Amino acid sequence: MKIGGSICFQLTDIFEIIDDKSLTLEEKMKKIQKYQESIISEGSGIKVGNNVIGSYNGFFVFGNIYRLDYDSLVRIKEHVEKNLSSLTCDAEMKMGAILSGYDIDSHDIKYNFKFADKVYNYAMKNGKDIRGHTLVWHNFEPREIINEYIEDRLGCTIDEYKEKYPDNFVEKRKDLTKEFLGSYMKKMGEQYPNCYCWDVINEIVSDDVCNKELSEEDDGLRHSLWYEYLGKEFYIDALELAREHLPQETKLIYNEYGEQHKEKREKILEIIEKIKEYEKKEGKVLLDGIGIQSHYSIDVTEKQIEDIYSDFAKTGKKIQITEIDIISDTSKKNEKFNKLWQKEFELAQKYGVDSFTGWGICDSLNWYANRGVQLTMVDESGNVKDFARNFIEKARENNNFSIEDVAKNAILKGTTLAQVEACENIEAKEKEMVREGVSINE
Amino acid sequence: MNSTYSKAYTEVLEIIRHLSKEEYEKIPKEKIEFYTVNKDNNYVFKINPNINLSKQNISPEANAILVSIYKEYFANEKQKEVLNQLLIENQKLHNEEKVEFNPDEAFKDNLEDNNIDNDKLLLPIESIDEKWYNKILDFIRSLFNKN
Repeated sequence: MKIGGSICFQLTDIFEIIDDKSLTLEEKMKKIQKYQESIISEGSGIKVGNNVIGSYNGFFVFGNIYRLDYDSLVRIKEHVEKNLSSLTCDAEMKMGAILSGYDIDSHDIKYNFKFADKVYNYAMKNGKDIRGHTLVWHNFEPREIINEYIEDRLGCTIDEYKEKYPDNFVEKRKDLTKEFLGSYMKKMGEQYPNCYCWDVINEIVSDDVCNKELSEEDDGLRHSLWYEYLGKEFYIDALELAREHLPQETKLIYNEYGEQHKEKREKILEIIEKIKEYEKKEGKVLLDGIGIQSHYSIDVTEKQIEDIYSDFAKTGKKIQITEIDIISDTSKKNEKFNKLWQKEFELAQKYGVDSFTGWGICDSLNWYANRGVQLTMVDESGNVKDFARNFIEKARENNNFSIEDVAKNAILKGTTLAQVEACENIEAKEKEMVREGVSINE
Repeated sequence: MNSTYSKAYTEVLEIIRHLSKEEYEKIPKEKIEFYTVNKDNNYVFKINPNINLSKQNISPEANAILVSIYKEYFANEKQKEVLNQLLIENQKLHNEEKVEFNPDEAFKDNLEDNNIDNDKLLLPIESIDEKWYNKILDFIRSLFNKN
């Protein structure tokens, strides 16, 4: 099982400074302090259009990175290097961060890989796997860029086209949106070929399914740009495009939150069933797994967690835990906090979860830092908490590949029956010779 | 010992080192000992855990041994059955490719006279490979999908 955490480029930048052998300890500390100061000044975060995304101090860096002392940062780095085998970008691989515009002269989409490259390269250099996060999401939708892309190909504005060709407008816009999304996915696959999976569809069910009675017309899906442009089965189009344009071995994931609420879980399961029906009809598998985000409050019960695993396991799809955190007041309820995590570990093992990722790295580096709560398996200074030690150590002993991955790869490489029989015969023959006392080297 | 297989044993030992402890322990010790005794000690083979297995240079012999291990110690009856079908399918494709892409065969007669599918012949080999690859991949996804 891969143990993961979400990480931002600012942290990998700091790790690089710590690693820089040309600097003395004093120089490293000064450089980090300067970098931390630069993080809190406007302008060095991830920009989307004219905005810098993220709610905390203007940047998409989770936590109080600028307050952490050098020793804590070194311990956090050691934790990442020693205990985590998989990383997820906090925001760097999201479409809003990657797309930087549309170039009307070259008729091409403009990309900004600067931030995502930093995290990806850090992962590759340090032997980490990386999850691709995320492709089709309702936040930071690139409406302007898509519209420019579409209008450039229509040769007029969308409204003009709609007026002129009311009958085929919807279909035409859908085709061009698919073309756009396909190009984007292809580019991401080329830029980050070693992402072992991608959250192809992310958070597509509306929270309204928990809060109110839905009208007959309301299908419980978020009415995002993708819904509007691709239609209500946009998630199937997205998976089809991902299968076509991402590297063939990439696992395609539907990542969702709010699964602890029964109504929302039912809706998520309904979507998965629709995908499965489509797969059956088309005779192919599009969805490899379900990403259960697992953002919980301390009020979640062990029974609820059991039900979540059990319900999703029934779909037959692989389960990944993709963004887990459990919000708990630091001053109380430690016992329950520990128990809930242990339940998670137990169920993750029981249900063969292949990737178990926390959102953030430790209690000081996550989206609730500085609010008097603990959320993660790792304390503020990068020490793994007692209740998580065994689980992390056991996972660390493991794996880069499963035997299933190895067998799949061999089949894809064209292994034939004759080759398998030949290797089995040779082995049997050698063993026979040893039994008869003939040296292998004779 | 055949040197191709000695090298394959080196590769197999390196690959299974990257399996989980539980999976590694499912492979009988005698089997691992056999590979260790018979491996090529001068051959250096390292797996890069960052890179997908498909992009690493694993020999066909090592792949065949790995399939055999999977079949013997990990697959259930249904998986064994489908795995066998896939191996047979690969065998057929392997044999067909030999004939299909033999230039002597392709150019010995006038194409039109012999009703040969022109489109197919004009298709680059990579495209046909890709088609085959996707077909097998779909098969495999169904095999390993728990449905």
